[in-house]
Amino acid sequence: MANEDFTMNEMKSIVDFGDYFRDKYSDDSLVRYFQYHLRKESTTLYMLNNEFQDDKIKQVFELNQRIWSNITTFHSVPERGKKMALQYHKELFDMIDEQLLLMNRIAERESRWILYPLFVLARELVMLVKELRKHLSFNLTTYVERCGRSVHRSFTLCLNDRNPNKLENRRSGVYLFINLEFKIYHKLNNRDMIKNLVKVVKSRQEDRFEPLMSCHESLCSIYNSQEVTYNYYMGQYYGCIENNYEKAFEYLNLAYLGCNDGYKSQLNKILILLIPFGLLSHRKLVHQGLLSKLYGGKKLKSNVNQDNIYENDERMLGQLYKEIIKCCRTGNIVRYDNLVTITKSNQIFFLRNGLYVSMQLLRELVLLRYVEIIYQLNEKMTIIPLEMIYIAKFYGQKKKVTITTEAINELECELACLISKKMIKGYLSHGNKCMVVSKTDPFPNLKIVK
Amino acid sequence: MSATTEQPKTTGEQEITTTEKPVTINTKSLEEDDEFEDFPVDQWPASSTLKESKEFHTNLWEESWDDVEVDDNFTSGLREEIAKYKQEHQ
Repeated sequence: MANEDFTMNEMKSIVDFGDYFRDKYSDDSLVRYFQYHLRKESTTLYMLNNEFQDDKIKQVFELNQRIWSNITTFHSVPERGKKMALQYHKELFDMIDEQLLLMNRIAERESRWILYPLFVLARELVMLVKELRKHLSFNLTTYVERCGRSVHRSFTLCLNDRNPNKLENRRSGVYLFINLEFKIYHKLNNRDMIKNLVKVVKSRQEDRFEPLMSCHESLCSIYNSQEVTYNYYMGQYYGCIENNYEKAFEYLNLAYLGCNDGYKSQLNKILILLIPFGLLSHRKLVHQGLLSKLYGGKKLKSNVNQDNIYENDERMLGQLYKEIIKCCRTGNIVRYDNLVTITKSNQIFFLRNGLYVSMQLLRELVLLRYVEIIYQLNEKMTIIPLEMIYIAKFYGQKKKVTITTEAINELECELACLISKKMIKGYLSHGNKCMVVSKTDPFPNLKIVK
Repeated sequence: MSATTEQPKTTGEQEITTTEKPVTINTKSLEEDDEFEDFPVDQWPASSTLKESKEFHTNLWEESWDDVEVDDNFTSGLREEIAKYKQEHQ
């Protein structure tokens, strides 16, 4: 056993690693066998029957012993220098990568039973990339790419399985590895690879002869965390890359509904996208009560550490999003511009979450709401002077607002956009500096705004 | 460190609203750390999802904003300003 501190007082059950492959089944012990990030060895004692003649399984077993031995030795050293930590993580990466490649080779001849343990092992490698980042002083890309190549093999061995027996076919595991690939491509900041991945999956799902099952019908239906993760990444893809808010909303709504409210960090990430996409696709306003319930109860620190993504997300949802929703309701375009396009830290937040474009599009809807309110307050007169639309938002200012031609032209241009998108029924009169709106339904309730 | 750390790093407070002072930005937050984290477990019972939770599910969306009646400081400010504008332009 790798752990030399092992005492006989601890009751350990004994498992033959080879039995899994002989009997073709997996259980928690096999999954625990690969969970290196837990750092503590499983209480199960793993052995390999000598009679079992398979080189690759033997190699996987030996690597596992070496990996655990490295982990326990490293963590038993009280003072670990930077150099030592770096060396340790590099070695660990090499060993787990080698083990994953071996397991991929083994899995090629195995059926569905091996997929979850294989996924757990592949995920360990992806997790290790994150660890490595803390210790590496140079470029991490080589490691991420290596990790990507190994995970991609797991993905293809699932996708290309032609086993006619549906219960054994490995295709049902494909979504588990898609999630890992999404994660890796995000780490590489490579949108083209994300696009390609989605394209491949879409074409397989639409295959005339052997359509790939949906995520919900796959192995993910058992592992719901993976279904939520898949829906999140797909929603992010459609919303942040394709600007298809309708589809993004569908996926993210599923992610939200499938999530459990105990996982706040993930729920935050889902809501950060879902709320603006709900507005853009269906003009749905999230219930203020929901945000209060989720984020209003606790006192939010004013000086949060920006490096703490969790705290920052909580604060943005609890304060910034609440304000933005209010702007959408009231058409307060001045406040919206302040929050979204002037406050730099908020801009950074939107950029980081891939929402910069969406927030610019959302501005159009706030402006529409603003014009709509002016129209209502102006007793629904069909002729609205541009100056009035421009000047009204400066209410309460002591200094008289000077109206420049540029400002009026800019407003005219923005209104022209709204008219061309059929959000306002009407026309502009440049000579008379006014907008003339239709007598009937000048602000049609647009369901989908693209 | 990732390859995306070309911008100079600054630290400082983050503001939720505009302030008169220039806000210093921590560009480190643009790095890749900001990812969708792995769930600590892979399975939870279908009964404990938000879909099944009455408290959260039914409460998610309000009516669409076209139906929302608004009356706040902003609207009353607009109303006054419009009245003033009309007076001046009659």
